[in-house]
Amino acid sequence: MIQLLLLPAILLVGLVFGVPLIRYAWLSLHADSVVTGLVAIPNNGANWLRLINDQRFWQDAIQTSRFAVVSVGLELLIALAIALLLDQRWRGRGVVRAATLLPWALPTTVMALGWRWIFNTPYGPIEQLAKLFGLHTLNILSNPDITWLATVVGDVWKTTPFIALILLAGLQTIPEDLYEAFRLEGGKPRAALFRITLPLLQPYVLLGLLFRLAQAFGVFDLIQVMTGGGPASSTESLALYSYINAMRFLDFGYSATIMIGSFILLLLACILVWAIIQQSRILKGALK
Amino acid sequence: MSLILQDIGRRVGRKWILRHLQLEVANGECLALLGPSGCGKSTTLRLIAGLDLADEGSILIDGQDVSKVAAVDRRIGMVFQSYALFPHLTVAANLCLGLRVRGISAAEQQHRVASVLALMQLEEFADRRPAQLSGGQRQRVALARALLRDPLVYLLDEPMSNLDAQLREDLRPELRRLILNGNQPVVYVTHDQHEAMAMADRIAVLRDGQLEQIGTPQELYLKPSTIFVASFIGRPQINLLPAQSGIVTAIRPEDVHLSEEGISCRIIDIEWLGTSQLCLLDSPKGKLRMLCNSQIKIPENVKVKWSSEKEHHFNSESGHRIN
Amino acid sequence: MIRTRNIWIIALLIWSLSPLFWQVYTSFCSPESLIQPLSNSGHRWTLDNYRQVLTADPPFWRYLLNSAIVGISSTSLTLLLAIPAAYSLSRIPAKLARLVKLLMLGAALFPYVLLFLALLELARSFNLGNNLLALSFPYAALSMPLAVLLLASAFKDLPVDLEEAAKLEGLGLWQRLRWVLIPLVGPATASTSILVFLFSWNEYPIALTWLSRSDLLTLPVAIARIAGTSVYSIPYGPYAAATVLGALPLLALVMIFQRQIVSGLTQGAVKG
Repeated sequence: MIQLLLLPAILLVGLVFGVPLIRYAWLSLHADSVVTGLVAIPNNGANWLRLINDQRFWQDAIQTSRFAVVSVGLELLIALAIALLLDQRWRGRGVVRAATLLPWALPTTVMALGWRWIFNTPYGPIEQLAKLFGLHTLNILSNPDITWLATVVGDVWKTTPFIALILLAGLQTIPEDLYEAFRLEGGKPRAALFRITLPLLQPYVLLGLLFRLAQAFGVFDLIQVMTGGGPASSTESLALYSYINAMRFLDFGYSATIMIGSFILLLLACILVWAIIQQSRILKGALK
Repeated sequence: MSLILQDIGRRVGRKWILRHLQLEVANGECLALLGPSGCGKSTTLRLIAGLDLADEGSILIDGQDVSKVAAVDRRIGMVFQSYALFPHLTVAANLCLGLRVRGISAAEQQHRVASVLALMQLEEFADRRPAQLSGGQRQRVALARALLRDPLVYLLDEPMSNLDAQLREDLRPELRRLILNGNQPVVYVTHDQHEAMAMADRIAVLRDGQLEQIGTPQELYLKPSTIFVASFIGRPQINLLPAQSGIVTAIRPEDVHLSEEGISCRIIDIEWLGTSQLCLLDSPKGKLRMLCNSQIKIPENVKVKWSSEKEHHFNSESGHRIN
Repeated sequence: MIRTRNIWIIALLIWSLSPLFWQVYTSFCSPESLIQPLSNSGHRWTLDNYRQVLTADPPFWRYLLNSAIVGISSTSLTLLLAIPAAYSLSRIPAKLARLVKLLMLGAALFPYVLLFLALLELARSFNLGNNLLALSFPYAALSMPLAVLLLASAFKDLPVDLEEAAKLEGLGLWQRLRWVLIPLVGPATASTSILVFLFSWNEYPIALTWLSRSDLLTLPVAIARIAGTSVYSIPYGPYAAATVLGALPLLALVMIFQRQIVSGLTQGAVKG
């Protein structure tokens, strides 16, 4: 009886997560586009062959990974600083905490457009500042070499509070007497950060890392609104590429193939990260 | 006979944590389940309440087999060790909740709650939350809730263990007045033998999921049927003398007397207990505890004896009493 | 020591808030002053941008209303399914519960954007497009893992005695949930609700593909549509006004429910 109560929730989750995956796997083996009159026709793995030879897919994969790794790395560093700051006791902490939470609570699209204005050439504040310092126009959003960094800024700004809160939760589980004991032993406050805080925070860092890597790998809203994938597809993510294939080119078979392909890449990336973590633990253990 | 447990057993995984338990509790009788932790006394209580279901045997309440009846439908009044008062509700709402879901009219609810609050002298706390009450007050609310259940059986799970010693003594007569003098069978779980002896008509001693002995407090004290019961019941603990040809002799510390014709012993330690003193002796038969009047001045070397009628004899292998 | 901390706090505030302040500033600027920010023309400050946004067709508050409808219906549906599921998860055998929790965690980690195409197909085959309430189904499903995990740990933390006492009082399963268990997991329910609400309010890819009628758009889609009008000449003034108006309700929510949001996120981290 009690098990039955789980059923509706599991069914809904299964429907929304499971059915698409099965459907994509099936679609990826079929041609289903305007060419076929939106009728699915088996095409013997032609989608997969195309994917393997699709330069744009691989370029997007590299761009997405670069974006995910750089954003999440920066987010972790900044979040750690914020968490350490918010873990201390000072007046007005609650208000500041709410203020830092605000970027996370706003819809991504809202600020994506905001960033577009901030990075606007020639009227945005960044360009104005550059002009003030006598620099050349930066053309942030139309220079394929640096536009992706602007998207990183947008992502870091939005999601750092989330990681900061997870790390803050981790900090608050560390008992105060550990630090007192460390001080009594003659340890320096800075050393405590590396000897106590960071090692004990490790599980929370891993949790944030895993969660954010997966989410950053699926980045869509920010890129679509901020740059539309441009300039010259330099900021296009895999999710955006599959979206364009489905909604603009109406090639559902290939779009599904891209999604399954992205999912496989993400899975591989997660396994890789996990392996690195395990390896470094073993290394640490060996050094001790 | 109003509560009957027939050969019940309870299993966790493959391990039997309670087996072959036979108990009968008459209407108005209070049976204490006594034993060390893990002996199965709480399990027994949960089986009677229906919070767990027995894996074998059956439970009869007023002649009806309730083994398969869910806890919700069993009409059990239980006082939990933690009191288990609903923290988000006031005292009055705590008491009302059960009445309401059992479909009793609002006026009747009011009336019953008011009278039980008066009975327990809790009127002034009706609008307080459990967190705003003292331990003793919470205990009385828990009792009041059990009373309002109008149950067929009362179950008390260590009802006093969260109270300090003074409060326990104050509450015992109240507990007796309210519940133990009723017409229902009462099962009282405790690990405190003083409480069991003070409250119960009969005591069942459990050990490792088996019934060790059942009887009145006097029977258990005067005629323990196993070494375990002998050493579990009675403080200071009974003296167990080394086995001789397969027989263990036991003698209670209060049955050991100073006497000129006795065996010579040396005093190792004396604990002063107010009206009495407990002497630890080194005798040829091993260490002995002797309880005597605290007026007596004890020299360092003494002679003690006891009447052989007061001796208990047990089989050293099985631990069972030899008559 | 304290002085360096203050510098950090100020840096943090600037980092978090200055992009927002820039939007506020922009929203009050006339188009000319945006193009020549340092010129001292008389038409610097204006409310035109707000007027334009609020009198557009459909007016801006329509999107806020749509987002609110979606947020409330999704949150209700999520709670309706997640509370029984979480209760069940905290009472079933540990092995089964672990398996379900792992599945839920996997789903929570999944970048759900990748689901949009199949969900769009589902919406088409069940005729759920352009229906705000229908969005509750995918939203509830996407929020379910977090909601179930958060609530299950709250149920698990309740003393077992309380539910057993309720059983002996004669309360059936639904009565126990209604009178004892759900009131006691109130704080966790509040945290869960606010997180689900924020997610539903902000969700973009699914709303983008499910909704096409302009009077049904949710806020994120409506704002992105402004961006899509033209890559080169975006009406930044009115747009900034829209941003500010869109941010205000969330600002209020974050201020009011700050504690619930924080405890929801951190509970998720500690217990998950």
